[in-house]
Formats: sequence, C-alpha cells, structure tokens
Amino acid sequence: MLKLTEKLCNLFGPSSYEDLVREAIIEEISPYCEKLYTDKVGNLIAFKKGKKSVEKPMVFSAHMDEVGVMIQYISDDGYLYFDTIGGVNNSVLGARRLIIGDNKILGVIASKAVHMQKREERGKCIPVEEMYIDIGCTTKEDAEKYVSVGDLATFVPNFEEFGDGFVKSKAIDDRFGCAVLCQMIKEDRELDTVFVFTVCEETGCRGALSAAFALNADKAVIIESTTAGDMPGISEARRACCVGKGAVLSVMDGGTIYDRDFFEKAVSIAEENDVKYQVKTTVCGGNEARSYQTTGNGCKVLAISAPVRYIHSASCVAKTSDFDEVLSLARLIADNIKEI
Amino acid sequence: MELFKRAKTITEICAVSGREHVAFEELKERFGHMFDEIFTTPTGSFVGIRRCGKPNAKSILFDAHLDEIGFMVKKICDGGFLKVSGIGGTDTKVLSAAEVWIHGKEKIAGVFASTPPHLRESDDNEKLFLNDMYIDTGMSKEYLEENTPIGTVVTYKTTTEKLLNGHIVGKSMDDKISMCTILEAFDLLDGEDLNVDIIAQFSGGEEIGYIGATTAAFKAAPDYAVAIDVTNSYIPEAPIRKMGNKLGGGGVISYSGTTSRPFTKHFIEVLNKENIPHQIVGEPGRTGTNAHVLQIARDGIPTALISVPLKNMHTQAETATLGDLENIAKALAALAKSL
Repeated sequence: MLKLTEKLCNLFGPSSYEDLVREAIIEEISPYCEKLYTDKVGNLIAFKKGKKSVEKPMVFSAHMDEVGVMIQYISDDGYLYFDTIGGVNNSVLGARRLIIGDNKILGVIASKAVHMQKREERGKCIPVEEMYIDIGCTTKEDAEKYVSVGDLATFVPNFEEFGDGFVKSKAIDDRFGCAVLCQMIKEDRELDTVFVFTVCEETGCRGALSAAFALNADKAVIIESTTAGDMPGISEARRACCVGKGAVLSVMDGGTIYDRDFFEKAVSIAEENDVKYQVKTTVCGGNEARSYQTTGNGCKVLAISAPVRYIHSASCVAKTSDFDEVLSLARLIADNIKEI
Repeated sequence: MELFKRAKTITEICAVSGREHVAFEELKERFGHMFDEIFTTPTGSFVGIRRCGKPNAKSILFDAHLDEIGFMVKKICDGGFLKVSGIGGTDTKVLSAAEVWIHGKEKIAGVFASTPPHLRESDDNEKLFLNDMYIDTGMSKEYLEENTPIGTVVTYKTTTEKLLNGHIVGKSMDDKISMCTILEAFDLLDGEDLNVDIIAQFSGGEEIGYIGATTAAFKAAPDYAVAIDVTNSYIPEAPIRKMGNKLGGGGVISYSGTTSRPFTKHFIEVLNKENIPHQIVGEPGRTGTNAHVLQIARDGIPTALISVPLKNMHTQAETATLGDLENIAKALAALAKSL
C-alpha cells in the first residue's frame, strides 16, 4: 500500500483537477471491482461484490483532491498572483516550489530577502494576497505563453520515507485514504461494499454530496487524514491526536457529530482485534462525513483517520504504522458490520 | 562542464559557515585539475592558483564564498524534535514545512514543524522566529542524542532546478553560484597568454563576518582582488533605488566607499570596451561582502566587487539567471586579460 500511497501522493490533483488521480486509481482497481464509473461531477464509484450480498452496502469514501493555489492575475513583470484552493496557511507558502497548470511549469513563491525587510517585517509571514510566483518570465506576454489565469498549482512531488518509519510528502491528505480504499478493493471482502473516490473535498466537501445522494447509503465511513498536533510547544490537551498512536476515531469535529452506535461499534471492534486506535481530543477540522450525514435521508457516519503532522503543507509527516492500523480497522468494519 | 550542470553541482554542496572543510575533497576532485597549486586554510577557505608562467608576475584574486547560511542543533527534545540556532541571517518566515538535511554522524532528513492554524494564538500577525520553531526528524530522542549531538549543522534540503528563460532556483546560490562564475572564467582563460597569475579563492565564514577571506587573502597576497557575491535585485516590493539592477542584466558592479574606485573604474572601462553586459550600483558604505575585507588585507589590495543579481536571498528558493553567470565569467576573464 505504501508504494501506491507514494504514487498517488506524487500526482498533480488540486480540487477540480482530479483527473490524473482518478485515472491512476482506475488503472489500479478496475480488475478487482464489479462495477466502476465516474459520475457527473467526477467522483469515481466502485462496487465490490462480497462473499455475502447485502441490501444496503456500506460506503467507504476518500477524497482524490489536494490543496493548492489558483492563478488569478499575471503582472506586467510576468509574476503570477494567486489565491489558495482549499485551506493552505500563508506560513507554509513562502519560498515553496509549485507545479503550475496543464504545462506543468515549475515556479517558486517569491519571498522578499531578509536583507530588504524592515524590522517589523522580520519573521512575519507574507499574506497570500501579497505573494506571487516567479516562473522565470519577465513580461506578462511571455508568462502568458505558459500559464493562464485560472490555472491550478500544487506543491512539487516529494514523497519520501523519513525518520524511523515515517513518510513525508505533499497531499498525504487524502491520497493515503485513496490508497486504503484501493487496497480494500483488491482484497476479497466478506460483504458487498461501495467505494467512493470523491472530488472537491478541500473546497467544501462538495463531491461527496452528489455521491451521497446517488448512493442513498445508510452507513458511510470516511477514510481521512487529520491534523496531529503532537509537537513541542503544544499542550497535550490541544494536540487532537498523535502520530504513531494508531487510527484516529472522531466523536465530533467541526462539521459532524458522529453516530454514537457506529463509533462505539468501531471502538469495540478495534479493542477485540488489537487494532491500535486513539480518539480525537479536540473539536476541529471537518470532512465529508457531513456531506453523507446531511444528504437525502441522511446516513450514519464514521471517520477513521490517520494522524498527520503539517497537513495542507508541502511536507506532511505521517507514520506508516498508523496507515496500517487505519487499513486494519477499515477492513474489519467492512467485513463485520451489516447493521448498526 | 555545462554551465547549468556546474551550477547545480556546486549549489547542491552543503557547506555551512564554520564547516566548509566538508566540501574540500569534492572541490579538489572536481576542479583540482584547473589549478597549478591548491591550498586550504584553517578558517575554511579553498584556494586554487593558476600561474601565467612569467617571472615576477602580478596576481589577481577572484573571491567567492564557499559557506552558506544554515542552522546548528542546540537542543534535542522529546518526540524526535530538534531546536536549532541560525548560522548567518536566516529568514524565519519561510521555514514552516521547509525540508532540511541534518548533518549528523548519519545524514538524516528533517522538516521544520509547522503549527496547525487552529492551534495558533493569533493567525495573521503571528511572527515566526527560530526560538519557537522545531525540526521534526521522525527519530527517537536516543537516536538523536547519539547521532545528531548539539553542534550538528543543518542545511536546506533541496535541489537546483531550471525555471523558464535560463532562470535557475536553488539553495545557497549565495554564494556558491559565484564560485561557478570564477570556474567559468578559468575555462575562458584556458590557453590564453596572461600577464598575471589568477587565483580562485573560495572562502569560508563570509556569513559570519568575512573570516575566511581575511585570512586566505593574507596568505595568497594578490595584487588585485575582485569579490564576486550576490545582490538583491529588483522585485515589485523593493525600493525604487533597486530598479537599476535586474536579473538578466549582467553582473552588478558596485561603486562603494569601501572598495577601490580606480580599480572599479578600470573594470567598467574594460567591460564597456568588450561590450560585456553589466549593471552598476552605488553602495556608499558597507557592501556586506568579502570586498569589505579584501580591500584592507595586508598592506591593502585594490578590490572591486561584482555581484550576481539574485531574488529570494537567504531562502531555499534563491533565483538567478545563467545569462548573468556567463556575463560575469566573461567580465572576470576580460579583466584578467587587461592587466
């Protein structure tokens, strides 16, 4: 699964431009599922026949898109001004390299040299609206040969094994989740299961809305990456979750209060099977669970997440053992829960 | 060697101020054949001399600094995190999520930790300083205590790549890219009949106060010197006085109150005569380069300063153009021939 996570993380796929990720996933899973189609908004939906059929199969959902930036203006000097697509904090953008647009042009976010900063500017991250990208063009005319307003950009691919059992990459959120779903599709499943690879999670969990409506499921599990705050300077109470402590189960986040029975069932399955898990300790963030929970008749939702540090930056850090725990728990839930 | 390849090779060398000697072997191996004599100094400078073969020849020294800014481990924390001090003037606002090499007994990768936005005190006005930052290594504290003890140096971890139109981006263009211009000039002068010995000085410790240039120039004892460094060029938010100095306009020659005006004038005249593109900047006081100390080394060395126009200085995304490097190499070669 790690190889596939690497392959998917390194692909270009900001929200609304998930095509390359979708193509790679189709190639990966098409021999292993009974029905596979792309819906009207770009979600990829796969039906997997289990050993036993069920009337209302459980849905597993992960999003294909990643955060990035969109070009909004090209200046006379040939610089590209932009805004973020999805939540990217300005502090992680300065001096970062980006891949831009269909032509996959390399650019770098400019950053006024420390020597030219006034005292009060030192250490202060530049607001996004004042940042610009340098691609090596010095006129608007030249820059427009390579890049257009509306082009999307993401951090350069940089997946790498790191430290003692860690990985570092852009877009672990949520290519890791996509890799978990792919792995589950490749294996034999006990029960019929539906897998959804969604678009545009980072711009408001929008792809999942269409999928949730069409599938009309009664149980959905979101496989996600969630912010781990386990670093020096942050008190234990505010860490949300910790890297290396296993799959993260959420009771509540910024978008959803999770189904109590589903949550408890997940906890007891984890306990019974020695799956390492932790419960998220702060109410923050949010994911597609809300889309499933609030569409049509509504649906019982559960989120299983991998704890990831520096999420939405060019260098997310995660532990591979957590990936394995998420996969183990997702498998057990897929194969053992018929009704809640 | 093709210019981009040479620029990439040199800028990807990691040699932080005070630890330049780690690069000596590689420099000797790659470029040693270009010199008749080589010496290194205890203060981190690497010097190569090419003799012109004429008796009692004068000499001109081309200086570029080998050292780069970086960090040094000052504390090992629980959970595999390191606290570091800066070596040289690091720009802390670009460090969140930046990748680094930690040059321990084993070289390991690290990432500057970035506090999640919802865990910050205040978002917009927050300033980031090294004191509040940590490097995540993904290793155990025990491993770090053994492998990356206090004093271990840390550098940016990145590659040098091409942007469009001959622009290149990478770490430590300041000032390794200038080493490249000197080597290119040596190539241009290969087989030329010169009246002067030419000296390439890759000096240590510039970022912490010109230490290497002071001592190496004392030993090399040249008759003339040119410091080749980088200079902040025009960007939209720069003061208007920077307007005259742009990437792609050629090397930037400095008229300064701390360098030799007659020698600088001579340099500019040579370039005008040879039609070599260049730009001129006025820096009345300190230039912030080795020219500052070369001019007053020994009993005085007439010194000029030419700089590579650079954007994003002291970040991992320093940007320059290959055209400027070529023009500076031509300028140095023409100057050597003029003496």
